[in-house]
Amino acid sequence: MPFTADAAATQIQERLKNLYHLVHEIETHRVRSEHNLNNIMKSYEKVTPEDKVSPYYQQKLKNLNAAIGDSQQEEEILRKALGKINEIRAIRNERRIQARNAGNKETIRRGALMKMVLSTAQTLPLYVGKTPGAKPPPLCGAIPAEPTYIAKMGDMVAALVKGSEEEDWILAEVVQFNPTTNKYEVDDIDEEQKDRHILSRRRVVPLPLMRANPETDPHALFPKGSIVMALYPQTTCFYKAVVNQSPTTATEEYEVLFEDANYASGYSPPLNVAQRYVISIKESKKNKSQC
Amino acid sequence: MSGKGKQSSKKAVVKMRESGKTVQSSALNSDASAENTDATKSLSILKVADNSRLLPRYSSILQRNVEEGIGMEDLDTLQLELEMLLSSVVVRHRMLQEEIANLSSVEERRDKRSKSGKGLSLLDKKVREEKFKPKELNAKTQSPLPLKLFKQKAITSSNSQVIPNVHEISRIEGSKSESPKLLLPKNDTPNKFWASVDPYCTDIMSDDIKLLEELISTHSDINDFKKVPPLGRHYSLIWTHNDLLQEEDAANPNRDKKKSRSDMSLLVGKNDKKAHSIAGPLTQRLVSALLEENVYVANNNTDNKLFRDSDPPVLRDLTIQNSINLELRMHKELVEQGILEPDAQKKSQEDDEILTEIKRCQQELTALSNHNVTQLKRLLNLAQEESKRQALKRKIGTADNEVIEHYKKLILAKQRKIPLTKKEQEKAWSCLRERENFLDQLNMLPHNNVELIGFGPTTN
Repeated sequence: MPFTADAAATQIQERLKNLYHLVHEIETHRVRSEHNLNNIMKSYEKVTPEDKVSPYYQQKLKNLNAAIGDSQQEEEILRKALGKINEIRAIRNERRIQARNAGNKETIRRGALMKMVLSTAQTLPLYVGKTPGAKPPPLCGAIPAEPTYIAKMGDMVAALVKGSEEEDWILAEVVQFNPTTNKYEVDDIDEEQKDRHILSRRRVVPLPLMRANPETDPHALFPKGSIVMALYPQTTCFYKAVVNQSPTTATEEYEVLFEDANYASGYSPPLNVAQRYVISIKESKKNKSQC
Repeated sequence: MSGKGKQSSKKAVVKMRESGKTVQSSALNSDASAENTDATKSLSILKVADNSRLLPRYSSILQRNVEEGIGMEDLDTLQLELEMLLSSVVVRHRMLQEEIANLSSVEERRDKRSKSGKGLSLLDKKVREEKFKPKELNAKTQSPLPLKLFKQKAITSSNSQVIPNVHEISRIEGSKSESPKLLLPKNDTPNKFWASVDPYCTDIMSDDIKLLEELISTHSDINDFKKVPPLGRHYSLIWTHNDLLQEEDAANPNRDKKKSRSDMSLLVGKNDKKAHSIAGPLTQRLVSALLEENVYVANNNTDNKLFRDSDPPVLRDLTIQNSINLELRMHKELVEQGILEPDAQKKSQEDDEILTEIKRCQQELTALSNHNVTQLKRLLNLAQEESKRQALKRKIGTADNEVIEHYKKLILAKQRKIPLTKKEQEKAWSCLRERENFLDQLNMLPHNNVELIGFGPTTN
């Protein structure tokens, strides 16, 4: 449904208000959980482990259960708040696409573009598994898309395009997918190129739509030593790299070593790349190590 | 690399906030915003250029009123902060659940242990405690250095202006990221194994020997099982009667008493009538003529009420079920009258099929019990010898220590170039001699004992 600028603004305002209340709710929940956690700690300090275990055990179990209930509520409401933020982002993105389709293309300087590339990666929604064994959805962290997945309009992808002399994986945005020809139409993210490419599906790799949380879902990350494709910092091209260190917090980035013949070791020094711009490598006969 | 540095400092700040909020306590409960201002304070102290982005936007939003609300510019930061919160909540949730699982398993194990009781080694206990403690603390402070952190936090929350403390925390937090990986996959299988082996390797105590002696004394006495119960209506009557009584009790004892009673008498009464038909009036008269009225009533026929009172007691035995009883009494009577030899019947008793079976079982039992007793005795012998050996070894240990002491004295004396006094020399010599004496004694003891003890229990 098309938005007018006003409609979008009111929708966003509404959600912001919602969010404001949610934040307050979160706080009350946190205070409550706090209280219970303190109780647990106190009861632990009071009792030495060996004597009178049973009543202690009962009490502790009760406290723990209360704390679990608290954390569940807190989790729920946090998810709700984050959901609201995502909605706001979605609305804005929608607006942007509409504006672009309408033809008023905002031109972005290269520095601003790089900033945008970074910030969109940082604000990519975070996936936090509900249970330890929960299977992360596709396009979360290192989990690839399903084979039948079609990237939506406005989604960021890595696209293998023919450059002047060789092929490069570039950062691009999906304009549309044509199901009859089975081809994507993508825009180079770098405005200076002003190129629109039409590419078959296997030359397009959708980027993750969610970040994986290392604290809860480490299995959705590339482990150290994996061969990946990563966006070289300050460029809009993907190159082959080796994961040197996986992130340990949700805000941290991968530390990767790019394959680079300019260095004696054949690898670049460790560089940081956001989760969003690290993807599993495609069959790599044409990957070159030059920028 | 500067980027990396930025990251780690960010991380430290983030972590500090997280754990800070779980640990700071009383101030928080009363006043929610106090905690947030605290956090902001400590953050601003750090003054890393990038920190402004990570300032708790969340807390500033909390302090705004509704009109101010949240602006678009807050969104990015707020998202990250909320995500951080979510992550920590989920982690906490999982830890709590793990903790519950732990607790119950610990409790179960404790139950088992206390039942199996004796023979638990200290080692095992320690393992249990170790397992119990750290997770406990983990769940609360979400860090493997809980106590240390807790103290640190207490300091900072009280005077958060002190810069060195903050740095120290970030250092601790930094080192923290490695330590859990080393600590977490704790493998206590070897401990369990050694704990299970431990009872087989410990010294033999006087308690053990006592236990063996008790076992021998109880096992060698099997006379109870050798008794053959006398013939009689063990099962056919007593049991059915008991069953009936039980049922009667189980049913309403007041109301249905008469009914069940009549049922019972019906059941037994049938036999009664049959008996009358089998043993006709003439037989009865003959029998009553033979046996006196006040003759001994068989033990197992106490249920007088089941029969008509007018019947003379003897006639009660004229049923089919009572035929053996009657036989016995007749025999007794006849023996008393001098008509029969007393032993005649006993022989006839012995070709009973059940009796032979009983005898066979008893024989087996005796054989088994004898075997057990001999094995136990052997074990006892071995245990006694081993305990002697252990006592000797202990003595040797002390002697060794004495010798070592004297040796040290000797060395000291040599270093100082002071000759030893004669007394000391004599003492040293006597120690050595004593030790040799003990060693000889140990050698005198038969050597194969060790193996036998090792395999004793299994061969049994």
